[in-house]
Amino acid sequence: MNKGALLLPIILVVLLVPLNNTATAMETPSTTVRDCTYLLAVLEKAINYTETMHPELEDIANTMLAIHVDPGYSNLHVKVYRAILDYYTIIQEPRVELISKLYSIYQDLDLVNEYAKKLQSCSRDPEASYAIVARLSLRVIYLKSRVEDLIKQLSMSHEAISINITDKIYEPGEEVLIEAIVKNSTCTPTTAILGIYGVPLYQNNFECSGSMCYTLISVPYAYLVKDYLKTTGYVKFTVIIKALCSGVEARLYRFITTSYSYPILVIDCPSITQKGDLLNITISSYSGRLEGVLTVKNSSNETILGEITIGESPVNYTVYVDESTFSIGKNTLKLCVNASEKTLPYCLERPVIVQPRYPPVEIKASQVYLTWDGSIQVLLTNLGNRSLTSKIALSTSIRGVEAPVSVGNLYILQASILPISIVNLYVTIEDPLLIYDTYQYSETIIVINASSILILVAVGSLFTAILREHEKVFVLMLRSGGFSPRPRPLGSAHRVFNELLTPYALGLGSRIAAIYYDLVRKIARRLPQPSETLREHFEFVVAPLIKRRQTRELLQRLLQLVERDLYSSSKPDLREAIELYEGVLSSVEKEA
Amino acid sequence: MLRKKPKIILLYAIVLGALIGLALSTIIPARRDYYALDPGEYGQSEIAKSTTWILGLQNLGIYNSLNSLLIIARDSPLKESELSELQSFAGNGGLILVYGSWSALKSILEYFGVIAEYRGRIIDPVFNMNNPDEVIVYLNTYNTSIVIYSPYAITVTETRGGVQVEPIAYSSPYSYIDELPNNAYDAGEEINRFPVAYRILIGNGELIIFTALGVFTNNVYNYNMGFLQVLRGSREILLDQSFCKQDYLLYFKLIVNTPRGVSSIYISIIALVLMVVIYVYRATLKKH
Repeated sequence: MNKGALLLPIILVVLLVPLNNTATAMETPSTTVRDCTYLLAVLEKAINYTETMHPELEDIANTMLAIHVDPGYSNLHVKVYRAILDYYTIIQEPRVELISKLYSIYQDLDLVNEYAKKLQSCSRDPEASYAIVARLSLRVIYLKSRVEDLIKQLSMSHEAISINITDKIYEPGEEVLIEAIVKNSTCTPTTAILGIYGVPLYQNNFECSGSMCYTLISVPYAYLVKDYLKTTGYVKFTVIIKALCSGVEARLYRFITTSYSYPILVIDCPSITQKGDLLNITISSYSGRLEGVLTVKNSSNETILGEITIGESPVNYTVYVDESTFSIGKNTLKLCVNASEKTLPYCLERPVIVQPRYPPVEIKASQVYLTWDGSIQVLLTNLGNRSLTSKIALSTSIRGVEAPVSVGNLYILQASILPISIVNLYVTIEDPLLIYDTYQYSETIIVINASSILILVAVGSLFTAILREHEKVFVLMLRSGGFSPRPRPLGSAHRVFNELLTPYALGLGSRIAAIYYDLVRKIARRLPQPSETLREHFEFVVAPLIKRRQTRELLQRLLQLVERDLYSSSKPDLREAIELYEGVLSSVEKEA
Repeated sequence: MLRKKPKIILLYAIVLGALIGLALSTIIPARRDYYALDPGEYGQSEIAKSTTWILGLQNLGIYNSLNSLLIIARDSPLKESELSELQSFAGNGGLILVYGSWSALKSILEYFGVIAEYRGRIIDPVFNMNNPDEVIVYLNTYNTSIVIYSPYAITVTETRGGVQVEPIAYSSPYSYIDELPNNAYDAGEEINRFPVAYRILIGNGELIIFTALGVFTNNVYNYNMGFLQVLRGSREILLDQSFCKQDYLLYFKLIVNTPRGVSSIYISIIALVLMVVIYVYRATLKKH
């Protein structure tokens, strides 16, 4: 009854468990966007909206500032969208007081390109993203020009001072004339500052004559601004004009454009040279006098070849191609020139392939050797007049041969004692004075040892013959554990032999044989041994004990029936055997 | 007596086995999208708790359409007879909310005279529930946001019979259509807000179609409970489960279960099983 009482709650639990459902709690989202292509596309959309002052721009910028992005570019992400948001806010209601802020936006707009390139590098398809980056770059140029114009407009709308600067592309080092016309005597222009990316470079004070004030400020040379310039081409410098208006400092902004470029250099030298040669290098400059450093670099190191000054005429430089400077294979000549007045720092590279200089040696070795002792011959001939050394080694031998190489040296090396073997031959030719590079020769050869083959055939034949003669013993040894490391008692082989043959001695389950053995047991008492045939047993053991001829004949007929039953495909009739059995018994009784 | 007893025990065993098998078939969980008894992500066991299950759309007539909200979620096209029932239900003032696969929605839209084309899956990397498939969308009409599972964009190309189709819900401006279906943004894919729900007026009622695989499926149900309450008002919620008729096991499980627990049939089966168990046990005792 206890079992019945247990069944009820078990069944109820099993059946009712699935009816119990639970609700899950709502999770608060916090979005992290890692798809760089997507972020790039959103950036383009935001910049497009910036151009058109789309009302959704503010929402996009705020949303982008709220999301999380990869830490590798999160700072750029924030700076860019903050600049976009500032631009959107200021551009709706531009005021003179916000010129500084606009100037800051003007600088931050360059970050858009930087951020776009960063996103392109991590996008799944950088090639497809390149189109977006290119479009963004154009948009940024347009936006910057708008901000620039706005800054100019705001500056010019200053009631007290008017600024005039000739609008043209200035050369590095050229002096820029800045005119300030004072409209209100409460204001006085004090200083003009030339800067880039918010960094002041030069400044000069105004000199006034009546309402006209002047100052000259030089456009910086390339070597002074090289750290601020990321690309060649036209560069915008900011001119900040400081003025004191009723004791309060006012700032007006202008921009001047300057052009910097990379120098045009040519390195002329052979593309391929050989170790030990002299390499003639000619360096020409089409950008005036330049100073720089010529180096050679390869996979292992970079070595300075020398400091070079390139003038109007080409400079010739000769280098000895030695092991300490050049490596075998690809080397790169690298010329890095410093920034000059008009050109930016620049590095030019030119690859040079250095080939090794191998010693003039002839190595003769056959691919197949058939010898009586398994040895091989290698002939080395020095074709030059410089003394060389050689090392000859075989993969099958620990010891090699070391010897000088002269005219026609024949070396004989023991390769293998095996009948047939595949051997690697290694020959190394070295120059003690290191004029030549070490030459390494390797060849896979087949060595046939005729003596070993003959011995193997002889031994194999002998072994086969022995095995054939002693096959039974061999099998017995296997069965008796003769090859086992565990010692076995003596005579065990004989015992196993008997065990193996007992079924044959007892007639392999033949009923007629059983009848025959019954008779034999009664007459002779000893059954056939595993080592004797039934006929041998009959002839030497049973027959001598039978006196009557009839008995012997009957028993012999029964023996024949046994043999037929055991070995013939036409089996005898059991009844015939029983009749013979009874006949033998009857005859034996009569004999008794 | 000894010869008869094994036969009786065998009969008991067969009956008992059949009944236990029947009972077990009702408790073994069955997985099927939109199934009322599937507690998995895409099942609808959560909303099923507070709704009336409709096992055949031909039975809709017994409910008062004016006071009913019918929720249909399907992954295969509806039959003509089912669509006819929906038209009748909506025509009498019923409110129908549909979501599911595009093939299912296309069959409904075309029946009501709206021809549309599939554009692609909508992915929103910004407004999602930490899962790109669970997208937050905004419903203009209800001035609320809900989370829908795996939305997709369609383009209504033609309307027939003067039917009015009005988009009522949009994805965020940061969503895009995954036109090259690789679960990632590819240059050129449009980033914009896309309609994800449409309202079609039918007679005195209306049909709201969400182009999404899930609106009240278990994975997003908790986010949308408020919207459901606003949508239903005082209406009774009817949950369509008529698609289960094709699967006897699902259908049988629905019969023996109800939204509020085990049905009387299920209790009867348990009682029958227990009765047989006790009877066999007593018979065994007498034998000893």
